[in-house]
Parts: sequence; C-alpha cells; structure tokens
Amino acid sequence: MQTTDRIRQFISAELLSNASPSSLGDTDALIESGIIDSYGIMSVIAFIEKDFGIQLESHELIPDNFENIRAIAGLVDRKLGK
Amino acid sequence: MIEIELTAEQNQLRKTITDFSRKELNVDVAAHDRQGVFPLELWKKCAAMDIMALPFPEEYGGCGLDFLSTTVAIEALSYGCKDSGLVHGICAHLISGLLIKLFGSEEQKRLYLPRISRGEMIAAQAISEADAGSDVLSMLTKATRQGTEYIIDGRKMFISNASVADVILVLAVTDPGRKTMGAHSFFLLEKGVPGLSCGKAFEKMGLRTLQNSEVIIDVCPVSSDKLVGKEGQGAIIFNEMMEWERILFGACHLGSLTRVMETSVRYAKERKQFGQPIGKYQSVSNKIARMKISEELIRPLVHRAAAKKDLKQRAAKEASVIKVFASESLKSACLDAIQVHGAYGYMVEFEIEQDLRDSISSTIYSGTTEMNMQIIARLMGL
Repeated sequence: MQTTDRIRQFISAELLSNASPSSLGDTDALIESGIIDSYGIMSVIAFIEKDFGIQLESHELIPDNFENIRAIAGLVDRKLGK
Repeated sequence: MIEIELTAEQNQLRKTITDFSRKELNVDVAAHDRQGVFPLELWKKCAAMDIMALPFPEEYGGCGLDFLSTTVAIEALSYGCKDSGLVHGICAHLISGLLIKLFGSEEQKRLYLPRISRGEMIAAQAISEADAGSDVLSMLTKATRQGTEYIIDGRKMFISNASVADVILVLAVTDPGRKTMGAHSFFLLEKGVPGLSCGKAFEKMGLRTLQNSEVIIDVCPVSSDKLVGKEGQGAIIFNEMMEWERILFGACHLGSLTRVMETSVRYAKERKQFGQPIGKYQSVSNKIARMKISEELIRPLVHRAAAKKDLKQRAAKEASVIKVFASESLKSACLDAIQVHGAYGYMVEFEIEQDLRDSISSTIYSGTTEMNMQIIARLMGL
C-alpha cells in the first residue's frame, strides 16, 4: 500500500468516523477544513511515527507538513529516504 | 511497554533533593502562605542546588539530566517541600525553559538557557486569556508582522510566575484567517520591553506563594528573532509542551501525595481513640490504603511517560492519563487526610489544610480533568 493510502485510511477511520477513504483526496485541505484540529494533529503525528517507524524533529512539526495527505506523505517519504 | 528501574544515581538524586527540601525549604511556610509572598530566598536556594538546571544541556549551563531523572527530582522536591506554590513555580519555570530547549533557535538557547538554568532569570508562559481557558486557541492576543518586528497586543490571564518573571513566552495569533492549526506563534518577551506589564498577583485559595497575575501586552513591539520555532507552529508547540508539563506536574502531585500519606500514617499510629490507634479502624485505614494504591500506580505511569519523552516519542495520551489520575488522587488524598486528622486536620497548625487548599487547583491547571478526559477519549478514537 502506498504512503498516501495508508495515511488516507487512518484519517478516514480515526478522524472522519470511518468515512469511505475514497471520499478523501490527496490535496483536500485537512487543516483548513478542520479535519485535523488541535487534537487530531496529536493522533496523526503518533500514527505516522509508529506506523512508519520514523521520528519527527521539532522543526518538522509545522502545519504546512499536515495541510493535506500529499504533504503528510511527502514528509513521511522524505524521512524514509524515498 | 517500557519497564523502568531507577539507577543508583537517580535514587541518590531523590535522596539528596528530599534531604535538601526538608532541611532548607520548610521555612516560614505558613507565614508565606498567609502573606502570599514569593519566597525569593528559597528560590535562590533551589537554584544553588541546580534544581533549575536539571533538564538543560551542559553546553547551556544545565545539568544535562534526562527527563526521567528530572521527574524523580521534582517528585522528591514536592515530597520534601511543604510549599507547593514554590514547587509549582519551579515547574512552570522548567517547562518554559524546556520549550526554548526544544523549539528555540541556537541564539535563543544561548541567550536564555544559561540564566534560566542558574535561576537568575525567572521564566513564565502566557497562554490562557480571560475568555480562552480550556478553549485556549480561541485567544484574542494578536501578533501582527510589521517589517522586521511583530506588534503584539492582548491580555493574558492567571499567568504563573508572571509578576516575578524576567522572560515570558507569549502565545499569540499571527494568522487570524486560519483555523486553529497554523494560526498561532510563540514569542519571547523580556521584562522591560515597552508595552509589557503585569497586574497585581491574584489572591488565591491555595498555591498562594505562586504568583499568578494578568499580563498586559499593549501594542508591544518584538523583534522577529524573538519568534520561537516557526510562524504558525504555536499550536503544535503548545500540544507538545503540554505533554512535558502534565508529566512533570504528575511527578509533583505524586511527591505531595506521598508526603500527605506519610503524615496520615504517622497520625493514625499515634492518635488513640477507644483504647487503640485510629489506624486500627478500617474506616480510617482504608483511606490511607487508597492513598498508597494511588502512589504505587502514579509512579510507574510518570516514569514510563518521562522515559518515552527521553526517547523522543509522543506521550499525549499518557500525559493526560497521568494529569487526571495524579491530580484527582492528590485532591482525594488531601480530603481523606483531613478526615483522618479529624478536628486537628482542620487547624492551620497541622498544615494538612494547606495541602488541601493547594491541591484543589491541580485538577484545573494544565488542562482541567474534563479537558484531559476529552483528550484521552479522542486519542482512543472516540
């Protein structure tokens, strides 16, 4: 499964009450729409660190890296050296 | 799950801080409480013991201890020192310094951490507002960029250490057009900057030596090099720092609870009614047994969460669990301790009533019990 799909599946299940993953596009605004709020960001950070086995540094914890699924996947892939 | 066994050094640290606190810090506690004064001399003694330097790297004048060791030290401080207001002020100072350590620029670390470590620069965080408590990100304080400066304008409420602070970390809205995430940023404001002032310290029910006041930021110009982290990173920094703070306060509550429990045990053994020590009556001993259960459960929670932070792992859920459990347990233990001591417990002379008054706010600050329960539930996917 691609990075984007794993992230999409998590956000759909955990932050959108099990909505269909297909309803969430790669560039749909997650922060502006309120899908990722101040609680949601904690879940997302914990998920990507655990699921992808990465550790985010403080300078990477910026809203731009969580704007949409593509941005989150980009962050993850950079950390994984993809 | 991480299993923690403290090292010989950590156990020695606990003993050293406990001995120091009992010997040096329990001076005029009731008088300071009555007067609501900040015990500067005791603060200086703690600084001389390097308590303010514990978690900061040696290159910035700190002791270079990990967070687990810091929680051990703070538990010992809170166990030995009867002035919970002083201990709370030290925790607020340490958390402010940790924010700079974790998110500050190299220049900010070099400028502030050595003086924070020596305790000669007192630090505070200004986040809550009159109408933004639990819903803290709905704050109104704004920071507007103008060239190389930000103009900060707003008022902060109930800020710990504010009136004695030399540097205040202020959270403000930098992008009012955005939702909560990305809208806020942290700034370092030094005492004496034009437009920055503090109200008189509030009179409080407990934690009276802790100085809580309003912070007035009246069109205050701040150079852009006082921005901490990146613009828009404020809410994420706030979340991260809440983890450290809730774990540290958990250690603090644990120390107080243990002291209150031991005081209750001593009294229940000495006090005789109907021909035997009151501790022989189950209705009394059950109260103390409950304190013991709390103590035994809180300590591993604190140690495991602190160890997670040392491993640079997230511990939001663990931090909220600790905060709720430790603060509610402390409050219950203090109420039970009064009951165990009977009429004597109600008297100022026995000091337990101060512990109760000091404990009441523990379920309010650093996120109310209700807000922390909400966080726990959200992080369980509810």
